[in-house]
Amino acid sequence: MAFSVVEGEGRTLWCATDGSSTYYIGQIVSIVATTKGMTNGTVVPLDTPHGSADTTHFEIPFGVVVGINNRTPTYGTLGSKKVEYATGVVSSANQIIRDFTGAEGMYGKGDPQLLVQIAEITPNTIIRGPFCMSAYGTGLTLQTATSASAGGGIVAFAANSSGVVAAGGTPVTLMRTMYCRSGANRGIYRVLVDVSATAPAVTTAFPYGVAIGDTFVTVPAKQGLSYILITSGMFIDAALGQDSSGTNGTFHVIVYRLNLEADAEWCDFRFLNMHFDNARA
Amino acid sequence: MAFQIAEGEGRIFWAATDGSTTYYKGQIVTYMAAAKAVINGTVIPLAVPAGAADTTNFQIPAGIVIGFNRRYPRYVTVGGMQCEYDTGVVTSADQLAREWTGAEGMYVKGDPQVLVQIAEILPTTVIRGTFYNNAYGTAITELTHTSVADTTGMVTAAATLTACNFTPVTLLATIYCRKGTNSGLYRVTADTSTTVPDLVTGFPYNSIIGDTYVRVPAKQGVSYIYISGPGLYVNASLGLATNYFTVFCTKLNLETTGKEYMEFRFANQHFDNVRQ
Repeated sequence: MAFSVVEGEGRTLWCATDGSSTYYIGQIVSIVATTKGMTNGTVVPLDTPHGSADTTHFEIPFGVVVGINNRTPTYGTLGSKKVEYATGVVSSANQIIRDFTGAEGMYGKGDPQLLVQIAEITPNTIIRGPFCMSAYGTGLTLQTATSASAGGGIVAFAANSSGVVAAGGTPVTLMRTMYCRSGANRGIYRVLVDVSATAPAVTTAFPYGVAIGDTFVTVPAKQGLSYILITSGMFIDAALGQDSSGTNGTFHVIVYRLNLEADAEWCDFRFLNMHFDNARA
Repeated sequence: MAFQIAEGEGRIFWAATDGSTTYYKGQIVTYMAAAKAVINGTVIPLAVPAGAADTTNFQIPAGIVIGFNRRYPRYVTVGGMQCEYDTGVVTSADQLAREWTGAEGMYVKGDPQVLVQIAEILPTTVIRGTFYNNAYGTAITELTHTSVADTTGMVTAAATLTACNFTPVTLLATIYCRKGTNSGLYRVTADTSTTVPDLVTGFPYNSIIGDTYVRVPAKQGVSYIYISGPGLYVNASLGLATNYFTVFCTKLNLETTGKEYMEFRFANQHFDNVRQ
C-alpha cells in the first residue's frame, strides 16, 4: 500500500486530472506543479521535493487518491507491487470511449473525463506512508552487526549493508532512526547521532548488548521533525532524504510514529504548515 | 501549576527524551533545539525565546508533558511547589536500573529509556499558562494606588501605582482591578510606564488611593510573551519588546494572587522551521 490517511478532518472529494499523468490509488497529489511560479489546472501526482522544504517547487499536498472513476479497475505493476491506476486522456473521443462511473460532487455523473477521488490532506492530517529503498515495494536493507557491543553503543556493520546512504545523499546527525529486528534489543528504536553507513552511533544506548549477527534497519526519519523525500507520490524513499543541504530535496514533516517491523516499514506523519502556502520563505 | 491544554484536537503520545535533560510535568517541549540550524533527535524542554517571534531559535512547540514512564513518580520542589519530574539517562546500565512502565505507541513496553507522554500542541491548541514574576512559583506583584485620586478612569496618566514587574509596551499589556469600584474589570494599557498607567478605554469608575491592581505583559488578541522555566511559565517580568513568542490570547484571568493565568495559542509561524 502506498499512502493512506489515518487521522484528520479532511474531506473526500472528486477532482479532475491533467489529461496525461498516470494516477495510482494511494498516491499523494498536489495542486501546484513542479515550479513554484507555475500553477496547475488540476491535481497532479506529487513530484519529488526540490530543495530543503521543497523551496524550489512549493508543491502543496492536496490529497491521497482513494478512487478512480473507471467502471472496471485497471491494475499495473509498479516496482514489485500491483497497483490500481488510470491515465488521463484529453480528446473528446478518448473521454467518450471510457467506461466511467461514480463521480460525485461538482462533476456530473455524465462527465466522461478521468476523475480521481481523493482524501484531503490538511496541515493536521496524519498520513501513513511506506518506506521503500529507491523503488516502490523494495523493502529496507537489513543491516547485520559484524562486531559486538556490550554497552549497546556503537556497532560496526558489514560494509555492504548500505542502510540509508545512497549516492548524493548526506546522512544528517540526529535525523535517522535505527530499529532492532533480531537480538536482545529486538523491537527497540534509537535515534542515530552518526553520519556513517556502517558504524552507527546512538545518543541513548540500546539497553542490551549487541551481538554479532543481530539485525537492524535504519530509516532517514525520526519521531518529531524529519526531512523526508517522497518519490512519485507513492513512497518515502529510505535511500534519500534528511539532507539539510538540499542536495536531495526534502519535505519537512512531523513524524508521530515509526513502525519498522519486517514487511511493514512505515511512518505516520503530517506535513509542516509551510507546505500548504505558495508564498513563503 | 505549569502549562496545560485548555482546548484542542491534538493527540496524546509517548516521545523519547534526550538522555540528559530534566523534564517536568506541565512543561512545554519542542522539536527543535535552541538554534534554528541545530536539529534535535528527541523532544526537549522549550528554551526561552530569542528574537522577535523566536527568530533566532525557530523552536517548534511539540506538546506539554503529562506523564512519565516511571513506575514510581518522583517529585522535586521548584519555586516552593512540588513538581513531578524525570531526568534522561544514556547508558544501558542506567536505563536498566530504572523501574519503567506504561509506554505505548511506537515504543514497546520493554524499552527502558526515559519516555515522556505529551499532549500535542497544534496551531489551534489553546494552552493555559500561569504568570509568575521571573521565577516559577513567584506571584506577580500586586499594585496599590498610592497617590492622586483618579476621576478620568485612568485615560489621563496621573494616578500613581506601585511599580509593576515589567516595562509596558503600548497596547500590549493589561491592567486588572483587584480591589476598588472597578474590581473585576480588565483594560488594555497604552503607556510605557511601570507606575502611571494610561488607558485607551477608561475604567468606568473612579480609582482612589488604596485600590489594588495587577498588570501583565499580555492582552486579549496578539501578545508577545516570554516563557521561562524552561517551558514552565509565562514570565510576567519579560517579553513584549525583544525576545518573545507571538501568541493569540483568548482569555486572561488575574483574579487570584499566584494563580494568574492566560489562555493562548501559538501563532502559526512557530510551527514551521523555514520562515521569516
